[in-house]
Order: sequence, then C-alpha cells, then structure tokens
Amino acid sequence: MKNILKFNPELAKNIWLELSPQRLITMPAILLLFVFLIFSLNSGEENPWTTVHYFSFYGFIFIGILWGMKSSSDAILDEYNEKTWDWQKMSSIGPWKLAIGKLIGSTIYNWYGALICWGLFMYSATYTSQPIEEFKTGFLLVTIMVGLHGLMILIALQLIRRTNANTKIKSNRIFLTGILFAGILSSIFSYFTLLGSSKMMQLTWYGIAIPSLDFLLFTSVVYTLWILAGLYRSMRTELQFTDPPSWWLFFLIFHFIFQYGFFLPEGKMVDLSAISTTLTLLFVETMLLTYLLALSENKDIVLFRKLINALKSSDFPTFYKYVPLWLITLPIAKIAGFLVLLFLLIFDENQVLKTFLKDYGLTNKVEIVCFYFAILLFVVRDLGILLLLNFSNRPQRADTSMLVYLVLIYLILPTLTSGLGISVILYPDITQGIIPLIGFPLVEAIAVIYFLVKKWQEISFNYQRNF
Amino acid sequence: MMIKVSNVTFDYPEKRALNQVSFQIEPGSITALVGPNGSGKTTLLRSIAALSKPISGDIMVNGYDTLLHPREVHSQIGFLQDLFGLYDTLTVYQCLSFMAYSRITDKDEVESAIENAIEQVGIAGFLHKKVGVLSRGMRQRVGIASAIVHRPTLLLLDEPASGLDPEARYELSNLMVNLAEKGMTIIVSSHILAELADYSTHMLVLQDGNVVEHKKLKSNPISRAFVYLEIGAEHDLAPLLDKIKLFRGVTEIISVDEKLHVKLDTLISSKHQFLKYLISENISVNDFSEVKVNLQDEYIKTVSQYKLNKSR
Repeated sequence: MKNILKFNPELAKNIWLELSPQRLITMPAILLLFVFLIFSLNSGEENPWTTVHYFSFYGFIFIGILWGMKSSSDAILDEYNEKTWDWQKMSSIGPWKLAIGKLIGSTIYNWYGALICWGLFMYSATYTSQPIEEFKTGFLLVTIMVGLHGLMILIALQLIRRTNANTKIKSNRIFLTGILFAGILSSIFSYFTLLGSSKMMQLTWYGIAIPSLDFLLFTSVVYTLWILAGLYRSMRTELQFTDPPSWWLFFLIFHFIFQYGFFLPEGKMVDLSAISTTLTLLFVETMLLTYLLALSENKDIVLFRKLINALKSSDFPTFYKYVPLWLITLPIAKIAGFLVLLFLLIFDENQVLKTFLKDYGLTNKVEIVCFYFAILLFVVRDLGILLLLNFSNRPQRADTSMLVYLVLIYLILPTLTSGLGISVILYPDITQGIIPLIGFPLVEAIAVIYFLVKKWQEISFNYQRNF
Repeated sequence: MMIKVSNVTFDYPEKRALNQVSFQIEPGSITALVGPNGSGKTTLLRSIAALSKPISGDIMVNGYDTLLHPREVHSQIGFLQDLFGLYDTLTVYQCLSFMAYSRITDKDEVESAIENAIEQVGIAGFLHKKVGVLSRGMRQRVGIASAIVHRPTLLLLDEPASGLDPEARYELSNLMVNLAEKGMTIIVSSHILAELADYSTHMLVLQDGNVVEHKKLKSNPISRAFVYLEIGAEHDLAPLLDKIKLFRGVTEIISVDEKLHVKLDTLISSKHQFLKYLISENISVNDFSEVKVNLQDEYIKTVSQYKLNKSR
C-alpha cells in the first residue's frame, strides 16, 4: 500500500475507502453465481456462452458505466459536502494525478466488477458469429466508461465552483444529466453495434471509407481524450492555477475539423460547400453550448467586476484568464454565423441550408441577414435576463428560473398563442415581415441591457455605501 | 515578514467581506484574529491560504504571492478550518498517512513526519480507531495533526476551540504554545478570547471587513494594567480629563460617563502616586482599583473606539 501511497495518495485513499475484503468477495461471487445459473438453466438448444455474452455486456453497462457514473460524480461531491475538498486543494498532488486518482480511484470497485464482466464478454465473444467486431465493442465499452466517468467528474467540478460553500449538493442532478448524455450515446452505440448488419456499415470521413464500428471506436477514444484534457484543466482550476480558456478554443477548432471530414467530397481537401455546412453546424452547436455553459457556469457579480476592472485597466491577460467559457463561445458562434451568411450571400454555397431557409419562408438576402441579426438579439435578451436573475437579491434559483423561462418562451407560449401573430416577440419569426423581425428583439435587448446597467449601478452603489 | 497583506479587497456577490485590508505578520508570532461574526475572519484566512482569490490587493506568504504561486503557498501553510472534514471511515493512521503523502513531496520524509505529528498532538493512543468514532476534542487533534503533518511554517486555525469542552480547550492552548515554541507562526481566529490571551503575542481586530487594530500584546502584565476610576458626578469631564492627562505616566484614558479607565505606565509612576495626585487635585474618587487587561478588554476597547469613530 505504501507504494501506491507514494505513487498516488488519492488512489490509495480510494482503495482504502472502496475495497473492503467483504466487497472484494461479494462482487465476483454474485457475478459467477449468475454465470453458473446461466449454465445450469441452459436447455441445450443454445450455446450458454452466447447468453453469458449478453449478460456480461449488460453487466458491464450497469456495474461499470451506470453505477460508475454515480460513484465518479460522488467522488467530488462527497469531498465537497463532507468538507474535505479543501485538504485536497492544498495538497501537493498535481492536477493530473488528482484527476486520475479520482477517475480510477472513486470507481475502483466498479472497475473491479466491470473488468470481470469485460473478461467474460471478451471470452464469450469467441463463441459469437463476429468475434472481431465483438472485441472492438469490448474496447469501445471501456472507452465509453472512462469518458462518461470523466464527464461526471467534470460536471461535478463545474457544479461545486458555482455553489455556495455552505450548501450541500446532491449528486442526483449530475447523475441525471449523465444518464441523459449516456442515453444519447447508447442510442448511437446501439445503432452501430447491436444491429448486427450495422457492424458492416461504412461511412466516409475525409474521403476515406471506414467501417462504422471502427470509426465509433476512434471517435470515442478521441473525444474521451478531450474529456480527460478538460478534466485536467478543470482540476488545475480547482487547485488554484489560473489558466486561459485556450484548450476550449482548441477543442472547438478540433471539433470543426472533425465534422468537416463528414461533408468533404471524395478527393478534395477544400470545398466551400463543406466548409459552409460545417460552419452552420458549428453555429448551431456553439449557440446551444453558449446557453448550456451560461446556465452551468458561475455568474456571480464579483467575476464580472473582476473582468470589467481588467478591461478598464487594459489588463487583457487577466481578462482572458478569468473570462467564462460561455463568453468565449458566444463570439465564436457569432463569427461562425457571420461566415455562414457570407458563404450563403456571396458564394451562394450551402444548398442544405438554402433549402432549410426556403422552407422557413426565407428567400431573399435581406430577410436572411435580418433573420441572423434577430437570432443574435434574442440571444442578447436571453443572456441578459439570465444575468439579471443571477444579480438579483436571491440568485439561488436563478438558473432554474431561466430554464423555466426558456421553456416558456420557446415552447409553451408559441404553442398557446399560435395564430395570434405574437410569436415574433418571443423568437425569430419571419412571417410578420422584416421590421417586426428585427424591431421586437431590438427593443427587448435594449430593455434588458438598460435594466442590467441599472442593476449594476445599484450593486456598485451598495458596495460603496457600505464602506 | 511571514505574511504581508496589502490593500486586499474581497467581495462576495451580496457584500464586501474585506475592504482594503493591509497588515504584516512577523515570523514566530501567534496572532489572535478577533472580530464578530461576519467581520471577514474566515475570508481573510482563506485568502491567506490561497483558497480564495481577492478581487484586488496582494498577499505574500513567506515570499510567495498567493495569486501567482498558490501551490507554493499551500506547501508553506497548515490550515484547519472551522468546519473541517475528515475521512470518517478511515483509521486515524490511514487518514494521517493520506494527508502526509499528499502534502509532502519528499516521500522519504513522510514516515518521520507522521511520527512527529502524532507526537506533537498526542494521538498515539488511538491511531487505529476509525475517525468517525472519535470525540470532538480528539477529532480536533487529528485535524491539527493533519494540518501540521507536512511541517508548515505557518499555521492558520479558524475557531479551533469551538465546540470543545474546557479540558480539550486547555489542551489546545498548550498545543498552541508548544507549536509556537517550535518556531511555527500561528494565526488563530476565535470567539473565546480568554484562551487566546494565554498564548497570543499579537492581536488583529477585524470589524466590518476592516482592520481596526493590529498590535503587539505586551508580555509584562503589569505594563498592560489599567486603573479603574469612578469619579464624583460633580466634575465636568473635559477639564477633569485634562488634569489627569497631566500626571506623568498616564498614557491613555477611556471614559464612559463618570467611569474612567486610565492606562498607567507603572515604570514611571506608581498607583499610590497617582491616587495622591488625584486627591491633591481635589478630584472626588468614588472607586479606585487596578484592572489587569486581558485580550477581551483590549478587544472591547478597540471595538468601542471603532464604533465611536464610525458614528462620528
């Protein structure tokens, strides 16, 4: 144990906490009991190893992935809730060791059970009709497990950073988010793996035809590495290092290049239509990410005062260090949208988007430009309201209120008021003409900015009055 | 200087916790950090420990800037927070081992450091007990052992005596003295000022996020003595105070109506001479007694003065 302590104290601590002799015996005993039952209940018509193969697959998903997701999110939240996190923050363990110690250590019991299932899965794969594909699926499972566990720790770190020190956090919220994400992943996974024929499917990426399962494995490895990179950077932030969000920018660039490969015609490296389509996708994704990050990141007024002070004193390195990711992502979304507009209006590229816009009633160039600006103004309105809620006297439920507001504005109200012609107040709607399309969001954005400035002045005045 | 705090301002979203705070702490001193709830004590300690970042100002700990070199600052500091946690399902020894291995970079030194911490806080008797079953006092000792296991040069303790019984508090006081004797610089925040007085060399008073006073506490209790005077109501206070100030050795007067606290340097004049002077000046003295000043009095006096100045 001393050697593990020397190598990674966090890992050693988790081994003490998670692996008791009783637990070490229970896990294999239960799993082997199931295998024994499968063999003993086998009627003889089917090879029992095929059943073991399915059992170990679902066993891995339940013990390794799902239960492991709960364990990994608890790894941070338990430390935070039990007030031991500050000890860790003051330790000399580096961010990488701490991240690995948490990632592997907190889920060590899940790894223990999952690896037994994995062994059974890989062995039983030899009894299936496509053993090579099954082996690849086995490695895919491990990658997904690491990636999802890393993601859970990342979300937990994000959550503790924006929570008041005296508030206890329940892991349910993180777990549900993780499950939602895992659900999306598993549907993709099922599509490529469980459907036997799909294992032979191929897709083209940068003009190269790749079997879909191989591509899925490659993609999951690459994106898991990005999650681990994010985890490392997030852990650095927790350990009081101040880093600029460069890696986030690198990730978005990588993501763009990765997606570009799907739209690129064979034999070409540069294609305006492919660039335009990828930019459109990036615009939509970065817009969604802006909302997601804005809702999840810390938005207390102190951070904004720090940013404004840095800008006032032209201290751009400090501004860049402290700027939240959503404020970095928003300009990228705007730039991507602007480039899409340029490609569409100047080069007349992107047939997919043109068809989409035509269906939406947007045919001439002026309308398309106005539509783009209307989107930006509504984003300003929404983010402004989010900040107003967070700067209020009771900011505890600000983000939840914002979520309700978004559902109301973009889902419930448009449904209830359809046909009344007021949708243009709520979201970009071309049916009422150009002037309302731009006018309403402009007025709303100005109103929100006005209230934001008033609130800012009120808070600044209160600070000064107290001293 | 062990700590140099310059113009530190710390804001929470709802209020300012520290306002342009500046002070310096000498190496080897024990500073009593005192102030009412919400005065900014915990925020200050967390900022010194490089766990919270102020909105402006600089904090240097043993030559390291807390914003630029937080990890180096962490290596210099042991910090026991008011509401600290320990791993309840680990044994005391496992807990200490984890703390030691995670804080000491030279792994060959870890075992001796653990032994040293165990000896200093006196927890050898229950190393194999689970942390979760320990009493509050014992748990506090394990917390302190965890905070000092890496032999920090600076120890920050936030309300270490809260929730402890009198015996445990007494033991904690002795522990502070022992640690200070071994050269550790200590900052202790507490509400229980009587205990801080036993071992503190300095007092730092925080009020509403401001440093109201930071001073060295004189070690000779006689030189810290006050004379309590109650005078007849027939006197006008202002001329009376002028008269008293004329007496050699009077360094400070605090007055509340007819009740006066006069600080007397007994190396210059004795109480006997002072009483004779009062009588010779026809001042009717209703009560005359010596009051040994403790930290509580110093604190109350400082805070009263601060409030008086603020109201003006």
